[in-house]
Amino acid sequence: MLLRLQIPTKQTRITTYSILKGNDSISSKKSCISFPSSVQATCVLACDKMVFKRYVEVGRVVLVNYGPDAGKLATIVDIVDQNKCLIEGPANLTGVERQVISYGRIALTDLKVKIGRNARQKTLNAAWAAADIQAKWDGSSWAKKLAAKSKRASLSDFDRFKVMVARKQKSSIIAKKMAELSA
Amino acid sequence: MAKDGQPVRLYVNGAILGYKRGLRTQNNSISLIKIKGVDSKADTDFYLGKKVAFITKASEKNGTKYRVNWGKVCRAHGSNGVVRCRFSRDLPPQSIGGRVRVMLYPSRV
Amino acid sequence: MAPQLKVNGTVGPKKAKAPVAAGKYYPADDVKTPLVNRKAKRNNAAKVRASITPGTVLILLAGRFRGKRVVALKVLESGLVLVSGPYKVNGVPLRRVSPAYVIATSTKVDVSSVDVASINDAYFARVKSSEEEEFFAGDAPKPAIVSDQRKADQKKVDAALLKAVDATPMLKAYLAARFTLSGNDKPHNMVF
Repeated sequence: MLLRLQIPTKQTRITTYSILKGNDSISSKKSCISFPSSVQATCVLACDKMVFKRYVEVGRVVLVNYGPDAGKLATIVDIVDQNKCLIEGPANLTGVERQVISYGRIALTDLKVKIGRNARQKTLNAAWAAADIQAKWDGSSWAKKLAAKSKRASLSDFDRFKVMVARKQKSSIIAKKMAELSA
Repeated sequence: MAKDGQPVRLYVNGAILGYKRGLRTQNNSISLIKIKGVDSKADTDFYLGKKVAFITKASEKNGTKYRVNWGKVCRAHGSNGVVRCRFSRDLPPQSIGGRVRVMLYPSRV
Repeated sequence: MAPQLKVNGTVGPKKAKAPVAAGKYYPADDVKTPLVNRKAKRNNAAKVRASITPGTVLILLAGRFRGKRVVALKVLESGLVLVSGPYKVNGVPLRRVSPAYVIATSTKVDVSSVDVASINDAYFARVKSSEEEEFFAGDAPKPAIVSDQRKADQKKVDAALLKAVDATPMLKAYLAARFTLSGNDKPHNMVF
Protein backbone atom coordinates (compact mmCIF):
# COMPACT_ATOMS: atom_id res chain seq x y z
CA MET A 1 0.00 0.00 0.00
CA LEU A 2 1.44 3.33 -1.04
CA LEU A 3 0.49 6.52 0.69
CA ARG A 4 1.60 9.95 -0.38
CA LEU A 5 2.46 12.70 2.03
CA GLN A 6 3.73 16.17 1.43
CA ILE A 7 6.09 17.36 4.11
CA PRO A 8 8.10 20.56 3.89
CA THR A 9 11.68 19.72 4.83
CA LYS A 10 14.23 21.94 6.46
CA GLN A 11 15.50 23.10 3.12
CA THR A 12 11.98 24.49 2.55
CA ARG A 13 11.63 22.32 -0.49
CA ILE A 14 8.53 20.29 -0.94
CA THR A 15 9.37 16.64 -0.75
CA THR A 16 7.16 13.71 -1.42
CA TYR A 17 7.40 10.73 0.82
CA SER A 18 6.23 7.38 -0.25
CA ILE A 19 5.26 5.46 2.78
CA LEU A 20 5.44 1.73 2.63
CA LYS A 21 3.25 -0.09 5.05
CA GLY A 22 4.22 -3.28 6.76
CA ASN A 23 7.35 -5.14 5.81
CA ASP A 24 7.63 -4.21 2.16
CA SER A 25 11.19 -4.28 0.96
CA ILE A 26 12.87 -0.99 1.28
CA SER A 27 15.74 0.02 -0.88
CA SER A 28 18.75 0.67 1.25
CA LYS A 29 19.81 3.65 -0.81
CA LYS A 30 16.76 5.62 0.25
CA SER A 31 17.12 7.39 3.55
CA CYS A 32 14.68 6.37 6.25
CA ILE A 33 12.96 8.65 8.68
CA SER A 34 11.25 7.56 11.82
CA PHE A 35 7.50 7.31 11.79
CA PRO A 36 4.97 5.73 14.15
CA SER A 37 5.95 2.14 14.69
CA SER A 38 3.28 0.66 12.46
CA VAL A 39 4.39 2.62 9.47
CA GLN A 40 7.84 2.66 8.09
CA ALA A 41 8.54 5.26 5.52
CA THR A 42 11.07 5.74 2.85
CA CYS A 43 11.85 9.16 1.67
CA VAL A 44 11.85 9.41 -2.06
CA LEU A 45 13.06 12.72 -3.20
CA ALA A 46 10.58 13.42 -5.91
CA CYS A 47 11.24 17.03 -6.58
CA ASP A 48 11.35 16.44 -10.32
CA LYS A 49 7.75 15.26 -10.20
CA MET A 50 6.46 18.36 -8.51
CA VAL A 51 7.82 21.20 -10.59
CA PHE A 52 6.78 22.73 -13.84
CA LYS A 53 7.67 20.75 -16.90
CA ARG A 54 6.41 23.05 -19.58
CA TYR A 55 8.51 26.13 -19.94
CA VAL A 56 8.16 29.18 -22.08
CA GLU A 57 11.26 28.63 -24.16
CA VAL A 58 12.40 28.80 -27.72
CA GLY A 59 11.12 25.71 -29.49
CA ARG A 60 8.16 25.10 -27.16
CA VAL A 61 5.08 24.07 -29.10
CA VAL A 62 1.99 25.98 -27.98
CA LEU A 63 -1.73 25.93 -28.69
CA VAL A 64 -3.25 29.27 -29.59
CA ASN A 65 -6.52 29.69 -27.72
CA TYR A 66 -7.73 33.14 -28.63
CA GLY A 67 -8.25 35.19 -31.76
CA PRO A 68 -8.45 34.18 -35.40
CA ASP A 69 -5.81 31.46 -34.95
CA ALA A 70 -7.60 29.86 -32.00
CA GLY A 71 -7.20 26.09 -31.96
CA LYS A 72 -4.01 26.04 -34.06
CA LEU A 73 -0.58 24.87 -33.03
CA ALA A 74 2.44 27.17 -33.12
CA THR A 75 6.04 27.24 -31.94
CA ILE A 76 7.75 29.81 -29.78
CA VAL A 77 10.55 31.31 -31.84
CA ASP A 78 11.66 34.10 -29.55
CA ILE A 79 10.79 35.65 -26.21
CA VAL A 80 9.89 39.32 -26.35
CA ASP A 81 9.40 40.04 -22.65
CA GLN A 82 7.58 38.62 -19.68
CA ASN A 83 4.23 39.23 -21.32
CA LYS A 84 4.65 38.20 -24.90
CA CYS A 85 6.64 36.04 -27.24
CA LEU A 86 7.17 35.57 -30.95
CA ILE A 87 5.46 32.54 -32.42
CA GLU A 88 5.13 30.91 -35.78
CA GLY A 89 3.19 27.81 -36.82
CA PRO A 90 5.22 27.04 -39.04
CA ALA A 91 2.78 28.96 -41.21
CA ASN A 92 2.72 26.47 -44.07
CA LEU A 93 1.88 23.60 -41.70
CA THR A 94 -0.49 25.05 -39.11
CA GLY A 95 -1.44 28.38 -40.65
CA VAL A 96 -0.17 30.56 -37.81
CA GLU A 97 1.86 33.40 -39.28
CA ARG A 98 4.90 34.79 -37.45
CA GLN A 99 3.52 37.15 -34.82
CA VAL A 100 4.00 38.50 -31.34
CA ILE A 101 1.41 37.08 -28.99
CA SER A 102 0.61 37.49 -25.32
CA TYR A 103 1.09 34.48 -23.05
CA GLY A 104 -2.53 34.73 -22.02
CA ARG A 105 -3.53 33.70 -25.52
CA ILE A 106 -1.45 30.56 -25.73
CA ALA A 107 -1.33 27.29 -23.82
CA LEU A 108 1.97 25.44 -23.47
CA THR A 109 2.10 21.82 -24.57
CA ASP A 110 4.50 19.04 -23.60
CA LEU A 111 6.05 19.14 -27.06
CA LYS A 112 9.28 20.86 -27.96
CA VAL A 113 11.39 21.18 -31.07
CA LYS A 114 15.07 21.88 -31.33
CA ILE A 115 15.55 25.26 -32.94
CA GLY A 116 17.75 28.23 -32.40
CA ARG A 117 16.44 31.60 -31.37
CA ASN A 118 14.59 33.42 -34.15
CA ALA A 119 14.84 30.42 -36.44
CA ARG A 120 13.54 30.91 -39.95
CA GLN A 121 10.58 29.01 -41.32
CA LYS A 122 12.70 26.51 -43.22
CA THR A 123 14.56 25.49 -40.07
CA LEU A 124 11.31 25.34 -38.16
CA ASN A 125 9.76 23.05 -40.75
CA ALA A 126 12.74 20.73 -40.61
CA ALA A 127 12.62 20.66 -36.80
CA TRP A 128 8.89 19.83 -36.84
CA ALA A 129 9.48 17.02 -39.30
CA ALA A 130 12.42 15.71 -37.29
CA ALA A 131 10.48 15.70 -34.02
CA ASP A 132 7.32 14.39 -35.71
CA ILE A 133 5.33 17.02 -33.83
CA GLN A 134 2.05 16.80 -35.70
CA ALA A 135 1.74 13.04 -35.17
CA LYS A 136 2.72 13.37 -31.51
CA TRP A 137 0.14 16.09 -31.02
CA ASP A 138 -2.60 14.15 -32.79
CA GLY A 139 -1.82 11.20 -30.54
CA SER A 140 -2.08 13.19 -27.32
CA SER A 141 -5.22 12.96 -25.23
CA TRP A 142 -5.49 16.74 -25.27
CA ALA A 143 -5.78 16.82 -29.07
CA LYS A 144 -8.16 13.88 -29.01
CA LYS A 145 -10.43 15.67 -26.56
CA LEU A 146 -10.42 18.79 -28.70
CA ALA A 147 -11.23 16.74 -31.78
CA ALA A 148 -14.07 14.97 -30.00
CA LYS A 149 -15.46 18.28 -28.82
CA SER A 150 -15.51 19.81 -32.27
CA LYS A 151 -16.92 16.62 -33.71
CA ARG A 152 -19.77 16.69 -31.23
CA ALA A 153 -20.47 20.32 -31.99
CA SER A 154 -20.74 19.57 -35.69
CA LEU A 155 -23.28 16.76 -35.28
CA SER A 156 -26.70 17.27 -36.81
CA ASP A 157 -29.94 16.65 -34.94
CA PHE A 158 -30.24 13.16 -36.44
CA ASP A 159 -26.62 12.38 -35.50
CA ARG A 160 -27.26 13.49 -31.92
CA PHE A 161 -30.23 11.14 -31.83
CA LYS A 162 -28.06 8.26 -33.04
CA VAL A 163 -25.44 9.04 -30.39
CA MET A 164 -28.15 9.08 -27.72
CA VAL A 165 -29.42 5.65 -28.82
CA ALA A 166 -25.89 4.23 -28.93
CA ARG A 167 -25.17 5.58 -25.46
CA LYS A 168 -28.32 3.96 -24.10
CA GLN A 169 -27.36 0.65 -25.67
CA LYS A 170 -23.90 0.87 -24.16
CA SER A 171 -25.15 1.58 -20.66
CA SER A 172 -27.73 -1.19 -20.85
CA ILE A 173 -25.02 -3.66 -21.80
CA ILE A 174 -22.86 -2.47 -18.92
CA ALA A 175 -25.77 -2.62 -16.47
CA LYS A 176 -26.60 -6.16 -17.55
CA LYS A 177 -22.99 -7.26 -17.14
CA MET A 178 -22.73 -5.61 -13.76
CA ALA A 179 -25.91 -7.32 -12.59
CA GLU A 180 -24.49 -10.62 -13.76
CA LEU A 181 -21.24 -10.08 -11.90
CA SER A 182 -22.83 -8.95 -8.67
CA ALA A 183 -25.37 -11.79 -8.66
CA MET B 1 -45.31 16.02 -17.94
CA ALA B 2 -42.19 17.90 -17.04
CA LYS B 3 -42.02 20.14 -14.00
CA ASP B 4 -42.53 23.29 -16.01
CA GLY B 5 -45.82 22.06 -17.39
CA GLN B 6 -44.73 21.14 -20.88
CA PRO B 7 -43.65 17.70 -22.03
CA VAL B 8 -40.87 19.24 -24.05
CA ARG B 9 -38.91 22.41 -23.48
CA LEU B 10 -38.70 24.45 -26.63
CA TYR B 11 -37.57 27.70 -25.12
CA VAL B 12 -34.52 29.12 -23.44
CA ASN B 13 -34.74 30.83 -20.08
CA GLY B 14 -33.88 34.48 -19.81
CA ALA B 15 -33.42 36.76 -16.82
CA ILE B 16 -34.87 40.26 -16.68
CA LEU B 17 -32.05 42.61 -15.77
CA GLY B 18 -33.94 45.91 -15.80
CA TYR B 19 -34.74 48.60 -18.28
CA LYS B 20 -32.58 50.30 -20.81
CA ARG B 21 -31.33 53.29 -18.92
CA GLY B 22 -28.88 56.05 -18.46
CA LEU B 23 -27.58 57.39 -15.19
CA ARG B 24 -30.74 59.31 -14.40
CA THR B 25 -33.23 58.23 -17.05
CA GLN B 26 -34.77 54.91 -17.82
CA ASN B 27 -36.68 53.69 -20.80
CA ASN B 28 -39.48 51.49 -19.53
CA SER B 29 -40.46 50.32 -22.98
CA ILE B 30 -37.22 48.45 -23.49
CA SER B 31 -36.25 45.68 -21.11
CA LEU B 32 -32.83 44.11 -20.94
CA ILE B 33 -32.81 40.33 -20.95
CA LYS B 34 -29.92 38.00 -20.31
CA ILE B 35 -30.51 34.73 -22.16
CA LYS B 36 -29.04 31.65 -20.54
CA GLY B 37 -25.90 30.42 -22.25
CA VAL B 38 -25.54 33.51 -24.41
CA ASP B 39 -22.31 35.28 -23.53
CA SER B 40 -21.27 37.16 -26.61
CA LYS B 41 -22.74 39.50 -29.14
CA ALA B 42 -22.18 36.93 -31.87
CA ASP B 43 -24.36 34.47 -29.97
CA THR B 44 -27.29 36.89 -29.76
CA ASP B 45 -27.75 36.81 -33.52
CA PHE B 46 -29.71 33.55 -33.29
CA TYR B 47 -32.24 35.14 -30.92
CA LEU B 48 -32.95 38.39 -32.77
CA GLY B 49 -36.66 38.59 -33.55
CA LYS B 50 -37.53 35.65 -31.32
CA LYS B 51 -40.70 35.87 -29.25
CA VAL B 52 -40.33 36.30 -25.52
CA ALA B 53 -43.01 35.30 -23.02
CA PHE B 54 -43.31 36.84 -19.58
CA ILE B 55 -45.62 34.50 -17.71
CA THR B 56 -47.44 35.40 -14.51
CA LYS B 57 -49.93 33.61 -12.34
CA ALA B 58 -53.18 35.34 -11.54
CA SER B 59 -56.82 34.60 -10.83
CA GLU B 60 -58.44 32.34 -13.36
CA LYS B 61 -59.62 34.07 -16.48
CA ASN B 62 -60.54 32.54 -19.83
CA GLY B 63 -59.97 29.11 -18.35
CA THR B 64 -56.36 29.64 -17.40
CA LYS B 65 -54.49 30.78 -14.30
CA TYR B 66 -51.60 32.09 -16.34
CA ARG B 67 -51.26 35.35 -18.17
CA VAL B 68 -48.67 35.97 -20.78
CA ASN B 69 -47.12 39.23 -21.82
CA TRP B 70 -45.55 38.67 -25.21
CA GLY B 71 -42.58 40.53 -26.49
CA LYS B 72 -39.75 40.10 -28.87
CA VAL B 73 -36.01 40.41 -29.01
CA CYS B 74 -35.06 43.65 -30.78
CA ARG B 75 -31.29 43.73 -30.78
CA ALA B 76 -28.16 43.07 -28.81
CA HIS B 77 -27.29 45.30 -25.88
CA GLY B 78 -23.57 45.64 -25.49
CA SER B 79 -21.17 42.87 -26.34
CA ASN B 80 -21.77 40.34 -23.57
CA GLY B 81 -24.87 38.64 -24.84
CA VAL B 82 -27.55 40.82 -23.25
CA VAL B 83 -30.48 41.64 -25.54
CA ARG B 84 -33.05 44.42 -25.67
CA CYS B 85 -36.69 43.33 -25.76
CA ARG B 86 -39.97 45.12 -26.26
CA PHE B 87 -43.17 43.75 -24.79
CA SER B 88 -46.76 44.39 -25.81
CA ARG B 89 -47.20 45.86 -22.34
CA ASP B 90 -44.09 47.22 -20.65
CA LEU B 91 -42.77 44.87 -18.01
CA PRO B 92 -43.64 45.89 -14.46
CA PRO B 93 -40.79 46.85 -12.13
CA GLN B 94 -41.40 43.86 -9.86
CA SER B 95 -40.51 41.65 -12.81
CA ILE B 96 -36.87 42.72 -12.56
CA GLY B 97 -34.84 39.69 -11.57
CA GLY B 98 -37.59 37.45 -12.85
CA ARG B 99 -37.71 34.98 -15.67
CA VAL B 100 -38.89 35.03 -19.23
CA ARG B 101 -39.08 32.32 -21.83
CA VAL B 102 -37.27 33.03 -25.05
CA MET B 103 -39.05 30.92 -27.64
CA LEU B 104 -37.37 29.41 -30.68
CA TYR B 105 -39.78 31.04 -33.11
CA PRO B 106 -39.96 32.80 -35.51
CA SER B 107 -37.28 30.45 -36.72
CA ARG B 108 -34.60 31.30 -39.24
CA VAL B 109 -32.88 27.95 -39.34
CA MET C 1 -57.79 74.90 -72.07
CA ALA C 2 -56.83 74.83 -68.46
CA PRO C 3 -53.70 73.00 -67.44
CA GLN C 4 -54.61 69.45 -66.65
CA LEU C 5 -54.24 68.50 -63.06
CA LYS C 6 -52.45 65.27 -62.92
CA VAL C 7 -52.17 63.41 -59.68
CA ASN C 8 -49.01 61.45 -59.76
CA GLY C 9 -48.57 58.38 -57.62
CA THR C 10 -45.74 58.34 -55.20
CA VAL C 11 -44.15 55.49 -57.06
CA GLY C 12 -41.21 56.12 -59.31
CA PRO C 13 -38.61 58.83 -59.47
CA LYS C 14 -39.90 62.34 -59.43
CA LYS C 15 -39.20 64.23 -62.59
CA ALA C 16 -38.44 67.88 -62.54
CA LYS C 17 -41.33 69.57 -64.26
CA ALA C 18 -41.28 72.87 -66.09
CA PRO C 19 -43.20 75.43 -64.05
CA VAL C 20 -46.72 75.77 -65.40
CA ALA C 21 -48.34 79.14 -65.37
CA ALA C 22 -51.39 79.19 -63.10
CA GLY C 23 -54.45 79.02 -65.24
CA LYS C 24 -57.62 80.96 -64.86
CA TYR C 25 -59.81 77.96 -64.48
CA TYR C 26 -59.79 75.02 -62.10
CA PRO C 27 -62.36 72.26 -61.85
CA ALA C 28 -64.60 72.97 -58.89
CA ASP C 29 -64.45 69.44 -57.53
CA ASP C 30 -61.35 67.51 -56.75
CA VAL C 31 -60.91 64.66 -59.13
CA LYS C 32 -60.35 61.60 -57.09
CA THR C 33 -57.88 59.11 -58.35
CA PRO C 34 -57.77 55.71 -56.72
CA LEU C 35 -54.78 55.07 -54.54
CA VAL C 36 -52.24 52.67 -55.82
CA ASN C 37 -52.86 49.30 -54.26
CA ARG C 38 -49.42 47.87 -53.91
CA LYS C 39 -50.63 44.69 -52.32
CA ALA C 40 -52.73 43.70 -55.30
CA LYS C 41 -49.70 43.81 -57.51
CA ARG C 42 -47.85 41.32 -55.39
CA ASN C 43 -48.31 38.14 -57.34
CA ASN C 44 -45.07 36.37 -56.74
CA ALA C 45 -45.14 32.96 -55.20
CA ALA C 46 -44.41 32.87 -51.50
CA LYS C 47 -40.77 32.40 -50.70
CA VAL C 48 -39.62 29.94 -48.09
CA ARG C 49 -36.07 29.88 -46.78
CA ALA C 50 -33.65 27.68 -48.66
CA SER C 51 -33.20 25.18 -45.83
CA ILE C 52 -36.79 23.97 -46.25
CA THR C 53 -37.15 21.76 -49.30
CA PRO C 54 -39.39 18.78 -50.07
CA GLY C 55 -38.01 15.93 -47.98
CA THR C 56 -36.45 18.04 -45.22
CA VAL C 57 -37.07 16.80 -41.70
CA LEU C 58 -38.57 19.67 -39.71
CA ILE C 59 -38.93 20.19 -35.98
CA LEU C 60 -42.26 21.76 -35.06
CA LEU C 61 -41.86 24.52 -32.46
CA ALA C 62 -45.37 25.42 -31.40
CA GLY C 63 -48.89 24.08 -31.28
CA ARG C 64 -50.14 20.70 -30.14
CA PHE C 65 -47.46 18.89 -32.15
CA ARG C 66 -44.57 20.91 -30.72
CA GLY C 67 -41.32 19.03 -30.58
CA LYS C 68 -42.40 16.52 -33.22
CA ARG C 69 -40.10 15.77 -36.10
CA VAL C 70 -41.96 15.67 -39.39
CA VAL C 71 -41.21 15.46 -43.10
CA ALA C 72 -41.80 18.46 -45.36
CA LEU C 73 -43.59 17.46 -48.55
CA LYS C 74 -43.98 20.69 -50.46
CA VAL C 75 -44.40 24.43 -50.16
CA LEU C 76 -47.95 25.54 -50.86
CA GLU C 77 -48.96 28.69 -52.68
CA SER C 78 -49.86 30.42 -49.43
CA GLY C 79 -46.27 30.03 -48.19
CA LEU C 80 -47.23 27.32 -45.72
CA VAL C 81 -45.40 24.03 -45.77
CA LEU C 82 -47.23 20.76 -46.26
CA VAL C 83 -45.94 18.16 -43.82
CA SER C 84 -46.68 14.63 -42.78
CA GLY C 85 -45.43 12.87 -39.66
CA PRO C 86 -45.88 10.30 -41.18
CA TYR C 87 -49.10 9.79 -39.23
CA LYS C 88 -48.29 6.18 -38.51
CA VAL C 89 -44.93 7.05 -36.99
CA ASN C 90 -45.64 10.04 -34.76
CA GLY C 91 -49.29 10.90 -35.15
CA VAL C 92 -48.83 14.06 -37.20
CA PRO C 93 -51.28 13.98 -40.13
CA LEU C 94 -51.04 15.74 -43.47
CA ARG C 95 -50.95 19.29 -42.24
CA ARG C 96 -49.94 22.79 -43.13
CA VAL C 97 -47.39 24.56 -40.94
CA SER C 98 -45.92 28.03 -41.01
CA PRO C 99 -42.20 28.01 -41.81
CA ALA C 100 -41.66 30.51 -38.98
CA TYR C 101 -42.62 27.83 -36.49
CA VAL C 102 -40.29 25.08 -37.65
CA ILE C 103 -36.60 24.35 -37.42
CA ALA C 104 -35.26 22.85 -40.63
CA THR C 105 -32.76 20.08 -40.00
CA SER C 106 -30.07 18.96 -42.40
CA THR C 107 -31.65 15.49 -42.59
CA LYS C 108 -33.42 14.74 -45.83
CA VAL C 109 -35.86 12.03 -46.85
CA ASP C 110 -36.28 11.08 -50.48
CA VAL C 111 -39.86 12.12 -51.24
CA SER C 112 -39.69 11.87 -55.03
CA SER C 113 -42.06 8.89 -54.91
CA VAL C 114 -44.62 10.71 -52.77
CA ASP C 115 -47.42 12.19 -54.85
CA VAL C 116 -48.93 15.28 -53.25
CA ALA C 117 -49.87 17.12 -56.46
CA SER C 118 -53.56 17.01 -55.61
CA ILE C 119 -53.11 18.59 -52.20
CA ASN C 120 -53.25 22.39 -52.14
CA ASP C 121 -54.48 25.14 -49.85
CA ALA C 122 -58.08 24.62 -50.92
CA TYR C 123 -57.81 21.03 -49.74
CA PHE C 124 -57.54 22.28 -46.18
CA ALA C 125 -60.36 24.83 -46.43
CA ARG C 126 -62.91 24.40 -43.66
CA VAL C 127 -66.36 23.23 -44.54
CA LYS C 128 -68.88 25.65 -43.12
CA SER C 129 -71.77 24.04 -41.39
CA SER C 130 -75.01 25.94 -41.66
CA GLU C 131 -75.53 28.50 -38.92
CA GLU C 132 -78.85 27.10 -37.92
CA GLU C 133 -77.39 23.71 -37.34
CA GLU C 134 -74.66 25.20 -35.22
CA PHE C 135 -77.15 27.15 -33.15
CA PHE C 136 -79.18 24.10 -32.27
CA ALA C 137 -76.08 22.06 -31.57
CA GLY C 138 -75.42 24.43 -28.68
CA ASP C 139 -72.22 24.26 -26.74
CA ALA C 140 -71.92 20.51 -26.91
CA PRO C 141 -68.42 19.68 -28.06
CA LYS C 142 -68.45 18.28 -31.53
CA PRO C 143 -66.45 15.17 -32.15
CA ALA C 144 -63.69 15.69 -34.65
CA ILE C 145 -64.62 13.93 -37.81
CA VAL C 146 -61.94 13.08 -40.29
CA SER C 147 -63.32 12.68 -43.76
CA ASP C 148 -62.77 9.46 -45.63
CA GLN C 149 -61.07 11.46 -48.36
CA ARG C 150 -58.44 12.67 -45.91
CA LYS C 151 -57.96 9.22 -44.47
CA ALA C 152 -57.42 7.78 -47.93
CA ASP C 153 -54.96 10.52 -48.86
CA GLN C 154 -53.08 10.06 -45.62
CA LYS C 155 -52.78 6.36 -46.26
CA LYS C 156 -51.58 6.88 -49.80
CA VAL C 157 -48.98 9.50 -48.87
CA ASP C 158 -47.77 7.58 -45.84
CA ALA C 159 -47.36 4.34 -47.79
CA ALA C 160 -44.89 5.98 -50.15
CA LEU C 161 -43.28 8.06 -47.43
CA LEU C 162 -42.77 5.12 -45.07
CA LYS C 163 -40.96 3.24 -47.79
CA ALA C 164 -38.52 6.12 -48.11
CA VAL C 165 -38.17 6.43 -44.33
CA ASP C 166 -37.48 2.72 -43.90
CA ALA C 167 -34.64 2.98 -46.42
CA THR C 168 -32.51 4.84 -43.86
CA PRO C 169 -31.71 2.94 -40.67
CA MET C 170 -32.93 4.56 -37.43
CA LEU C 171 -34.77 7.29 -39.29
CA LYS C 172 -38.14 5.92 -38.23
CA ALA C 173 -37.19 5.97 -34.55
CA TYR C 174 -35.81 9.48 -35.05
CA LEU C 175 -39.10 10.73 -36.47
CA ALA C 176 -40.99 9.04 -33.66
CA ALA C 177 -38.92 10.79 -30.99
CA ARG C 178 -39.66 14.30 -29.85
CA PHE C 179 -37.13 17.09 -29.90
CA THR C 180 -36.53 18.90 -26.65
CA LEU C 181 -33.94 21.19 -25.19
CA SER C 182 -32.31 19.75 -22.11
CA GLY C 183 -29.83 20.83 -19.51
CA ASN C 184 -27.42 23.33 -20.91
CA ASP C 185 -28.31 22.93 -24.56
CA LYS C 186 -27.51 26.07 -26.48
CA PRO C 187 -29.73 26.24 -29.53
CA HIS C 188 -27.67 29.10 -30.91
CA ASN C 189 -24.63 26.82 -31.10
CA MET C 190 -26.43 23.70 -32.24
CA VAL C 191 -26.28 22.37 -35.75
CA PHE C 192 -29.64 21.02 -36.87
